[in-house]
Amino acid sequence: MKTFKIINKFLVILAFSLGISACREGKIVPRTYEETVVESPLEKMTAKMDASSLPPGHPDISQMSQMASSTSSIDFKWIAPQGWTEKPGGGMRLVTFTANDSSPIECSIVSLGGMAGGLEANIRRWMGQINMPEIPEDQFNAFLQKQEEIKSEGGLTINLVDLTALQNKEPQEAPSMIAGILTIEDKTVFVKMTGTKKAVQEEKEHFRQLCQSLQLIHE
Amino acid sequence: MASVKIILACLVWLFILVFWGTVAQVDQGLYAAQKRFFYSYFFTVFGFIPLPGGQLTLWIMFINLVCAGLVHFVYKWSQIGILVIHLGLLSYFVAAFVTFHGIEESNLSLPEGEGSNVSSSYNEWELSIWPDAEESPRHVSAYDTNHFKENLRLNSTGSDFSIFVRKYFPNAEVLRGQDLTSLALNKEPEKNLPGGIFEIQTAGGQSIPFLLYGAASEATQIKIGQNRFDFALRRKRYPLPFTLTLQDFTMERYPGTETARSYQSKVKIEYDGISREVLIYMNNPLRYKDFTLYQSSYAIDEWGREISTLAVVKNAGRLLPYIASFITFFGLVVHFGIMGVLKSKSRK
Repeated sequence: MKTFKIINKFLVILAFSLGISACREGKIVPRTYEETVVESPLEKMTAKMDASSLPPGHPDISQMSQMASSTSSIDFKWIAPQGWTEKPGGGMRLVTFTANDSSPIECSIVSLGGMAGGLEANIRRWMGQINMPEIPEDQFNAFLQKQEEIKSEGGLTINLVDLTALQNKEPQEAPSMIAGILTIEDKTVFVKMTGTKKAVQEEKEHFRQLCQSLQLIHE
Repeated sequence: MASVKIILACLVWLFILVFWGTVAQVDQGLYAAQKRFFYSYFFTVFGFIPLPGGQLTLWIMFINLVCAGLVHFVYKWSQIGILVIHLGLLSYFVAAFVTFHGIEESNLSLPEGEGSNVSSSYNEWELSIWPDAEESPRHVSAYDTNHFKENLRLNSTGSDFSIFVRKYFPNAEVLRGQDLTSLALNKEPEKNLPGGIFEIQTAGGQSIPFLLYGAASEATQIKIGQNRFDFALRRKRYPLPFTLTLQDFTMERYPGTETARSYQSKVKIEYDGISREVLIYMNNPLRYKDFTLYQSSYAIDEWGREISTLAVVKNAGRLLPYIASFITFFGLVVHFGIMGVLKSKSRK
């Protein structure tokens, strides 16, 4: 009798739990919702660029062509400046350099697809990254006019952007940056060195040497 | 079912499950171990021996506690504190039940200047369809892919075509742009990228096959009759009762490095005609109704833009554990208060 009661209790629990499990198996019905997308002007610009590459209205059975790949298929070579330590990159980042143990800098070469936001947008973003205050448009344009354009040994045109020039009143320990931007085919390549203002100024010449050493590797 | 021995046995079994599940997650991964040991009613060992899972054990404990309270409880005024304590303990079970069945965890990744009113699941996917002409807001019909299988028919709402699932793999690779192959599931389910081959059949007899892959950055546009629709296989979207726009993302780096020290998001939240700016950073989440948004991480996208990722937790029962704790504490105060009064009376 006792055994029967125990078995009975077990069956009740089993039926209960199976019932709950069964209830959780739902039917496939579509959920509907409204999706609001607030786009930045940059997104709208890039959306137009992407749409032009898609065959409109064509049943597309290939997603590989639509998977925007930002990793560069460009092969570069460069010469690491004296005293800089080179570390292999990954994905968008081709290489990373570090230097100067006493006042360290980090320098990277990154390759992105397309216009990568454009020169002005990227400079303003970098200024924000190193906590620089926004400057009026006329001052910004004057700053851009003064920036240098150099040619590398491989014949590549590189726009140098030296943000230390806007940091005259900042202390030596303030974060700073120098960048080089070059456009090759449909890619934009950034060479970016960050560190304290003092460190960046000390390594400026090495940075120029790195940029000037850039060459494309042709098969 | 009112036996204290059963409750004790369940507690011991729960202790074993916690230990077993913790060790098992090393090989199986956190998600698989949670699903097998804690979220299940039963699980098997050696392929055929069934053992009770966490859910069944907790149900047995809950039913037992209710029955024990009804059968064994002595209803006297002096025992009212004990009754309240038991109600508090039962409230913990209720809180756990509401949280388990109601909680939704997702994330919202926004580049600066962009906003959205939907968040994305970490592990679940959906087949989304919306009219191509719509930019914002889009009226999306979405099918959860959990139950996708070969030749499953998906009825579309309010349109004259059906969609058939011809192939679907929860983790897949595209072959030569035209076919799919199944891959083994990752231990970390958020790394799985599903793929499917689907077929549209229109009322007019037209058949349109198409392939969708989870890694695609754009939707596939298909013309059906006179209309165009966008199809996407993407992480499941959860509608939010507000629109959130990332106005500014600020990150402080350790000097001389690209390593982030701290970061914060200045967002604009819009709901019911109200708009306000909020700063979200570590230990300072945004709370709105049942939703809590935490600063989770950041990334740099292919355009070099900074993207802020916010963890979104919807939990209608988030206050229940606090209520359960208050009830239990109140019961303890009442019980010890009554015991104190009775003891002082008996001394006199």
